[in-house]
Formats: sequence, structure tokens, C-alpha cells
Amino acid sequence: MRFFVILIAVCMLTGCWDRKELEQMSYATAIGLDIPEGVDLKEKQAIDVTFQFSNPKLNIKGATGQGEKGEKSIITLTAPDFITAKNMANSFVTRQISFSHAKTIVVSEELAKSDMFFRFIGSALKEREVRRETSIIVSEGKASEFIRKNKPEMMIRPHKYYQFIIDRSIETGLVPEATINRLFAVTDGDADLFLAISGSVSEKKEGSSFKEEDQYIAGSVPKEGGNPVQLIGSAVFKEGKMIGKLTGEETRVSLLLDNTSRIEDMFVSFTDPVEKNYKIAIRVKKKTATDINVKLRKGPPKINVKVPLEIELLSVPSMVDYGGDMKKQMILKKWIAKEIEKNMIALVEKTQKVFKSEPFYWSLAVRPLFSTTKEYEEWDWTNKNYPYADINIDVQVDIIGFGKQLKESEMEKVKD
Amino acid sequence: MSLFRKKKRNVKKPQLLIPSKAAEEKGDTPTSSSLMVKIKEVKELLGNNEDLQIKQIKIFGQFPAASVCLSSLINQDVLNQDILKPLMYVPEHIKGKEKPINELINLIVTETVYHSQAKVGENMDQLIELMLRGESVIFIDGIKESIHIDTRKIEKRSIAQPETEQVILGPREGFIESILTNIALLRYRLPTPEFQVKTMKIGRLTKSTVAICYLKGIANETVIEEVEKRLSEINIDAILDVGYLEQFIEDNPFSPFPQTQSTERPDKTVANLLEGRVAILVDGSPFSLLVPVVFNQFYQTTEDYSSRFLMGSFVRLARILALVFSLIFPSLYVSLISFNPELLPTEFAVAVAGGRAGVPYPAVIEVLIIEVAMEILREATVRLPKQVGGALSIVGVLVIGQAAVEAGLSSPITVVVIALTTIGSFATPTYTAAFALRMLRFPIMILAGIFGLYGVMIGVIFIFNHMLSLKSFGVPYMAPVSPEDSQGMKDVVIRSPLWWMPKRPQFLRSSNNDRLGLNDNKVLEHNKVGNDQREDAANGGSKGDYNNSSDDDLN
Repeated sequence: MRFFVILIAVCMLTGCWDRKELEQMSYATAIGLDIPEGVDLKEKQAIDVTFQFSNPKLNIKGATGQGEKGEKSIITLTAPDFITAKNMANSFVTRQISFSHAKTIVVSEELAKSDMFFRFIGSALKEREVRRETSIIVSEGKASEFIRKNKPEMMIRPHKYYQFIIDRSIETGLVPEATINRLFAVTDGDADLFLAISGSVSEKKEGSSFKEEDQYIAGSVPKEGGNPVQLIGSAVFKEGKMIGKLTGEETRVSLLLDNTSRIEDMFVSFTDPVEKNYKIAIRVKKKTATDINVKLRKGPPKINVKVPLEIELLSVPSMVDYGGDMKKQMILKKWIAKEIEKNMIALVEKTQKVFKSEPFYWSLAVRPLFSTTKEYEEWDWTNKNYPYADINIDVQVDIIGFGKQLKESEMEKVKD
Repeated sequence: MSLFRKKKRNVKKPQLLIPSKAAEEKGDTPTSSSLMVKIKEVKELLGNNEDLQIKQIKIFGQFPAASVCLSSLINQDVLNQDILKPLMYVPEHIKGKEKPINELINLIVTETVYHSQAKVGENMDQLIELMLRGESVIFIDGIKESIHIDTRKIEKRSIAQPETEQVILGPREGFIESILTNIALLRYRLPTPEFQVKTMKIGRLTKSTVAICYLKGIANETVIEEVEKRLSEINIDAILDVGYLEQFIEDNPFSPFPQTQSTERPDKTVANLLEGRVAILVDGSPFSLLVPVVFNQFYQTTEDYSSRFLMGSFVRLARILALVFSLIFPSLYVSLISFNPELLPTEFAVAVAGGRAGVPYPAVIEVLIIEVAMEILREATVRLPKQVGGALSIVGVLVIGQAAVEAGLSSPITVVVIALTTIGSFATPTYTAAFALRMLRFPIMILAGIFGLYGVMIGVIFIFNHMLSLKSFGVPYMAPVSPEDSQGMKDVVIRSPLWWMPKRPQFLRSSNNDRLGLNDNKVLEHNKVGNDQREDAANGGSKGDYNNSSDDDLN
């Protein structure tokens, strides 16, 4: 009897009454943040928030893509912060807006460069709905424009589009893995630079400035047709504020030096060491973790970095027989190691001189050298030591494959 | 022995075997010696019946007598040929012999009637009862005793494949309604003196024969005694099926979980006897009741053991998965889409939201509606004759699968979830256990609708608590998982190879635990045949040259 009383009481008095059925929710897949026009952030806190909702109707079989109606699922409004914007939007959006499936937060460069950026994002952490694995994209122009102009060529569902393009770009190493979690970890650690995905909307073809495949920044990739939205390179954040940009190549190099990154499918082209007017294409993989050895001494520390890489030859337009000729292989190995080293040293110098901190999360290798946090903080890695450190980079290259066909065609014989 | 929970039960009441007043009044009184009186008494009790057959004869042409029987129960040929004929014709070997009336009974039983089941009885109530069981009684004028002969002939169906427990590999025989045939099926598989069958009669009106079968020396003595004790305390007018007994002897009648196992398969019964269980058979029921049981045996089948162990283990794992599915799948679905959509992949969440757009109810109501419809459909198809059943299931599939979605009653994903659940509950081989989980699905679903995932967890914990507290004839229900028993564990999740299980499970406390003979078991040390002989050629002989077929001694 007592059991039943308790049972009934439990059922009557408790329960998750905040239950919301799935169809009562609207899922924002992308959230855009902009500085509102004509508002001075120093005087008033205000932000333009853009929501892109996933459209459940698209799932009904036979339904066509986003089409003209797509505009309806993207809204922009001005609010004090993007959490309260949720409720404000309900003045014209019928369902409760949920961030629990948000894939990305797009921030305009203008906002990213202001002090307010970290304050706005910081409030995201208090909201339990925002996932920590949400990616941060810094768009060159307005975030609302970035979201609106985004017309995925194959994906009709926005959440799939963001998930796939971000995953894929991270695999190729052209953009860094930039989750909210990492932003907070790096910023609160106060020792490293945070790299956000750099994106841009551009419809014009900038044909004049052809470079190597990864030396672009977002918006300058020469192309014709397709989605105007591009993701390449990264935006550099120092202490929660954007201070610069890295090209795709620099991003890749920084990811190779970073032990917390994962690159799976990085295709790079290099000048052929034997026939200099050709280029070879290789696939680069990290063999094991990068070995970062920091030696403390009086004055700036000495840092020895060992980067073990595995490469696979993918195309050799010069038809040089690297597969069969050990001597040429040695030349190739040394050449590639040298080229990569050159890139790395250039990037390290840039970070030391321009950014005065490093985006490689090397503070993880430094921290164990101190027995207390206090000592480490007093020693001050990012301000007093890194910019003046003596950094040695040693790239070790192993050739693990020559593509599917080992032997090159003998062009001279063919030409007869 | 504190093996058994002591129960407060009424001390034995006087047994009321025959409720008929007349017979009761006659009670133990011996039959009178007068034939006419005896016939009159029989007529008083059974006279209204068409099939009461009384034939007056003169034994050996001189002693007036009557054969009395119920013609519907007996084999007329046997009565005519084996009983009446030798009684009316004086057999050759006793022709001319003196036949004194006081020796007559002895003469008839030992020298005249061929039938092996001829016995002498005296009390009217006993004779009537025997008559009602299909024996023929011969009353003789001037003699108090009567002869009763078993001439019973009851129609029974032939042994067929068990309908409820089909297997792909394994014996095809199933029990039938006749208990004698059923015992024969068991004896045929256990030709050993250890196999014992004790019988008793239960049911004041039906007087059903109940047989307690066990292997002496393997089954625990206390369990056998407890089974006998519980059975003997049953005082009911009718036992029509073994399920009647089950409800009287189980430990916790209010539990949704079955605490006995009923099976139609003699091979399964024998396997359980060999593990040390006790089987109860009832005349008129094609099921045997096995006690004590543990939960894990409800998802085991005989096929697990007759197939190779990898196959058996795989199938068993699939079955366990189906079991879990049938219990919590719909409630997980409800709590995920109502409370924790962030745990779903975005694609799926959007798909569900799209599918549910036209559904007017919250998810829990929607699932309950479809579940109830499914239960009704299932119940309807069980009772229907086969010819109609096919048509109904098509209608049912259409209504539930297609029309409900199009009418906006449910979303397509709900239908998929319910379908998976229903199929899952069919994958549990024991009907009663599947039923328990089917029932428990509903409270968990309601908990999920109110509390979300938290409610599901609470529900599952409650169920586990309950199962852990259950006992069947002194054996913990969750054995061998808890209390843990290493021998038994080998047969819970996977079905270990037979040679890994040398002992019987401990939890049944059998007096003899050895299953495999340890000494002369040369499993896996088979003689090497064919190409394996090369392993003998250890000292570099040329025996192993298999390119040359002339070396092989195979021809």
C-alpha cells in the first residue's frame, strides 16, 4: 500500500515536464554572428544573429532541394546576445529553437577582431544546448551573407553540408579542427594561438594569381561555378581575438607540427628535384607523433622538433623513374624534407615575429617541465620565451609508396 | 534445510474424491453378493447413460454373471474375444474340472481370461470409478468380489511435431495428450533404472494422473520432496492442463515472470532431467512442466546444443539482443525523441521531426496506440483458423503499416520501431517469458513518457531487482549469473562447446555433478587419419611426401 502511495506521488509530483516533442523544435544548424550596422559595440551590447534551420520537410521522400524556399529557413535578427535571440526569433518562428544540433558558428571577421567576440562566445558555454564540438568559422564578409549565399551543390540538407565539408576539409588539412572546446581550452590556457576555420564567399574567379594548390586564403581560390562558399586556411586568434590569417599551406604546416591534430589525406605538390620545371604530387602522412623537445636554459629555450613523415608518390609528370632508381629516391627524400623544413621554418618565424605566439599547442610539451603551475606561469612561455626561442626543425621523410604503377613510361621511346 | 521458503498452508483436509452423493453414501461398503442387487446399484448411479452396457451371461454355462462397462470407453473386440468368449465357452484345459463357486474367481483370473490386466475388486465406489476409466467389470452372482479388466480404448492423436517449439536441427517428436505415450517417449530416451516416475491423482472430478519424473541420484532429493508436497496439497475439482498445476506450485504468483517451464518437447524434457530438474506430466496435456527454473533457460533452445557451438552461440546472442529489444526498444525511442533529441544523429532527428509533423499526439501516446493495435492483431491471429488468418494478417499489415502512417496516426519510424520490437519478442523461444517482457514493456514505456531516459533506467532496475529476488523451488532465478557459478556461466551468454562443460550446473544442487567422464574422454585427441598421418613422421622419415600418391596407403 505504502508502495503505491509513493509510486503515485512520484508520478504526480515529479517528471521531466520540460519534455518537448521533436517536431516542436526547430534545429539551428548554423548560427551566424555579426556586428549590427550603425552600432558601436563599445557603447551598447548588440549582435546580429543569423539562424539557419534544418527543414524537416526535406526529408519527405520526393521533396526537392532547398530551391527558392530556402530563404525562409534563414533568419537574421538583432539581439543583445545570441542566446536571447532564440526567444526573440519566436516572434515569427513557430517552434522552439534548439542549438543542440548546431554544427557551426559563423563569425564575421569584423566581430572576430573585436573584444566582444570572446564575450559572446563565452556565453555559449553557459547554455547547455550548445555542443562543445561545434566548429567556428570566421567569414571574410558578413556571417549572414556567408550563410545565405551558401548553396551546396549536392547536399540539400544544411546540417549534412556543414558536417561533411568541415570533416573533409579537416581531413585534407586545409583548415584546422576548430571546435568551441578547443577555443576555450587554448584561450584559458593563455599560451597558444587558436586557429579557426577561415571561410569566405566569393563568386568571382581570381584567375590572375595562380599559386600552388594550398597557398590560398579563403575567397581567393580560382574556380569557376560551384558553391560560392570556400573554406581554406585559418584565422589566428590570440587571447580570444583575431589577429591574422594563415593560408592553406601554413595551416597544413602548423597541423603537421601540432600533436593534437589529425590529418588523413593531405595531397601536396612539390617541384620535381630532377626536372625542375615539373611538379610532383605526393601524399603526406604523419608517421608518429611529432617529437617536441624543449630545453630550458638561461634566456630563451632551445626547441628541437622532429617531424617523422611518410610520403607516397602520386604523380610524376616528369616521368623520372623514382621507383627504380635508389639514387634519385635519396635526392627526392632530401628535397622534400628540405622543402617542408623550409616551409616550417618560415611559418615558425612568422609566428615568432608577427603573432608572438605559436598555434601548434606546444605549450603542452612545455608544461611538464615545471613542477608547479605557478612556476610555469611566471616563466611565461608565450610572451617571454617563444618569440625568442631557438627552434630547430628536423623533418624525416620515408617514402612508402610510388602509386599503383611503379614504373614510369619511357617518354623518349614513346615519342618515336 | 532452509532451501525452501516455508509456507503457511492448511493442514490436509479429508479428500473428497467423488462428489456424487450416491457413491459417497455407498462409500466403502463392499458389494453385495447378489447379482441383481449389484446391477441395481450400478443402474442407480449410471443408469441414465446411453452407453452403460450390461450384458447378462452364464459363466461356463452355469454361473449367472454380468459384464458391465461403458461402451464408449472400451474396446469391444477385446471384451468379446478375450473376455466373454473364454468365459462362455469352457476352455479345453478346464473342461470336466470341478468348479466350486469359492474357487471361481481364482479360476477365471488365473486360467480363463487371457487379458493381462485382470484384477479383483470389491468396493462398489472403486469399481464404478474403474468403469468410468474404461474398465469392464464382471459381477458374478453369489460372490462378493468382482473382476475388473482393463479394456480401455481412448482415441488419441498420433505423435506430431511440436507446434510451439519448432527446430531446424533436432528431434521432431512432441508430447501428445496421453500421459502413457508421453512417459513412453521419455523412457525411450532414458533406458536407465535411475529414471523414476511417481504418479498421483489430482482433481476431485477429473482424477487426472500426474506423473513426477526425475533421475534418481541426479535430481536433488529436497526438490523432489517439495514438488510432491506442493502437488499433494492441491485440492481442486479439475486439472485440465499442466498450467493448472503451474499456478498452484509456483513460488510467486504475482510475478510476471514464469517460474516453471512448460515444454512440448520430450528431448528438452530429458535434457532438463539430466541437468537435475524434475518434470511433471499431466494426463490430457501435451506439455511437461519443468522445475526449478532459472531465467537464462528461457532463451535457450535444444537446437543450441544440437548445432555446433559457434552457430549455437551466435544464434543465442542474437536472441538475447532480441530479448532486450522487445523490452526497452519502444521506450528508448520515446525518451530519445521526447526528451533527449540531442543524442540522435542530426539526420535522424530531422527525419523523425519530418515524419512526425502530421501526428497529433505526443510520441508516447503514438507508440502506445500502435503497440495496442499490434497486441490486438497478434491475439486475433492466434485464435483465427488458418484459412482466415492469412487474410487478416494482410489487412493488419496494411492497416498498421501503411494506412496508419498515411492517416497521420503515426510516423513511419514508429511503425519500424514497433515492428522491430514485435519481431524481437517472437525471437524468444519460450512463449511465457516473451509474454512477461511484452507486458513489462508497457509500464516502462509510460515511465519513459514521463521521465525520459531516467524512467527507462528506473524501470529496468526495478525489473532486475524483482528478478534477483525471485526463486523457483529454492533456486535463485538469476543463477548462474547471480549467485555466480562458473560452470553454469559457460552456458549463459554463449553456448560453450560440450567438452568445456564437464560438470552439471551447480545451482540445481544435483547430487551427482559429473557430466563428462574425465578419465576416458579422448575428445579432440582423435586418431589421425588421412593426411594427418604426416605428424607421426617426426624423425625425418619420407612419410610426409604427399606429392607421390603411391606412398599413401589409402587404397
